[in-house]
Amino acid sequence: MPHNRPDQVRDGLEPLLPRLWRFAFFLCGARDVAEDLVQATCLRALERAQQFQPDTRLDRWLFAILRSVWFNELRSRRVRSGEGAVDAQTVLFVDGVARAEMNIFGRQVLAAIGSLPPAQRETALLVYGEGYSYKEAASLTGVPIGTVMSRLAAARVALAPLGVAAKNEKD
Amino acid sequence: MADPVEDTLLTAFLDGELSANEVEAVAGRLSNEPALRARLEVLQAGEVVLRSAFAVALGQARRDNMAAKMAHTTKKAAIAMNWRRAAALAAIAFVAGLGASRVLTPHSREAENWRQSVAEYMTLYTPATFAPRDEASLRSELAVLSNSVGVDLSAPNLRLGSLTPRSGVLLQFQGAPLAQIGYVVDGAPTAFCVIRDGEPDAPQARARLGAFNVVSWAKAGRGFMLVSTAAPERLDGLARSLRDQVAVN
Repeated sequence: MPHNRPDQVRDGLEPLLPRLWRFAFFLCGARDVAEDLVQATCLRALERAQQFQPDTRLDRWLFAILRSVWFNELRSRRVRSGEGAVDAQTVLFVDGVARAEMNIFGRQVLAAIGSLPPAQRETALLVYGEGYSYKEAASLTGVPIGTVMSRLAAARVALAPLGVAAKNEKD
Repeated sequence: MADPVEDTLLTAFLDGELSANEVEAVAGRLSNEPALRARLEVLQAGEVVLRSAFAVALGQARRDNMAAKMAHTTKKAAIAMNWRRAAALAAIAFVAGLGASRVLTPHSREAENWRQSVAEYMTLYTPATFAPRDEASLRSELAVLSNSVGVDLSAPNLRLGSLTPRSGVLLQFQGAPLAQIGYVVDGAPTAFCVIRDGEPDAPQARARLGAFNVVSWAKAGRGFMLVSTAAPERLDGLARSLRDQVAVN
């Protein structure tokens, strides 16, 4: 029996939750905010399930919704209510993922990513975490491809010292 | 050398986003310009770090059982966002509840899950993670591991030619004890893992998980895995020795 669109969205949401959370986390940099953001994204997606085109990718559709909820609603609401400084919450960022079993290198990596400018962080996640092409990343974030390229190059340069240190340890 | 234009060009080269002509041009320059090659290596090092961190964060999201958590936060989020759509709320609570029950069933502790989880953490390991312990500490660590997973993991059983186990750590995956023994194989941090989770017997098989080569098998209700960036042929040989030497109690 073919699914209707709301069913497709509802059934497709659950396996995508970890990836939605990861995108939200690297976008806003704080664990509790990321959970609210995923929640809001799911609600919005269910409300708009009729608009989903069945022959397109649900994950890309949801990422676009999540991004729009963050930049157009949650983030501006937080700024207005005086909670706006989420971008600078490097400490929260580290505690959000790191656990006791994670080694010092892991914590350093997350702290370093937390200190990247948010636009670089987001673009790097889309391309290196989610496998977006430059064109797809440019389209989602609404910037020219050249901007995607320079953000990725800058993120690579910023994280390189940690990678070099790890490599030297191995040699 | 730090030239943003060159960095951007090299990044696109590494990401496979250049045309055939451009790739040829960059490749030609790389063979003639040592400084450009050095810069390429710097950019590659950054990519490894980024990819590792993203993989670890995703593993964390999976382990934390996002679906179950969302059931708890539904109400909070609804108030915060001033949502009035009760129907949508009910629907998402249903989705979240479904996720929670699925994660808690034994089915989800299937073989691939714990192996995936180990591989995600491996991305953050360096040879220094498996710094050698003194003999007495290692012996007591291995005794704890043997006890927990019901497999004789004493040091003589774990010796692989000239390779010796460096450290042992007890982890757990969804309630099942998971023993992890560290080696350094051809310069690569390598983990031998044993989980007591009732897996059905399975012959030795090779797989690729992200950047890692994995050799796994299962016997007498224990799942085994050897994971490393070392060559798969090398791991196959080591796994055969471990299968012979490590007896299930």
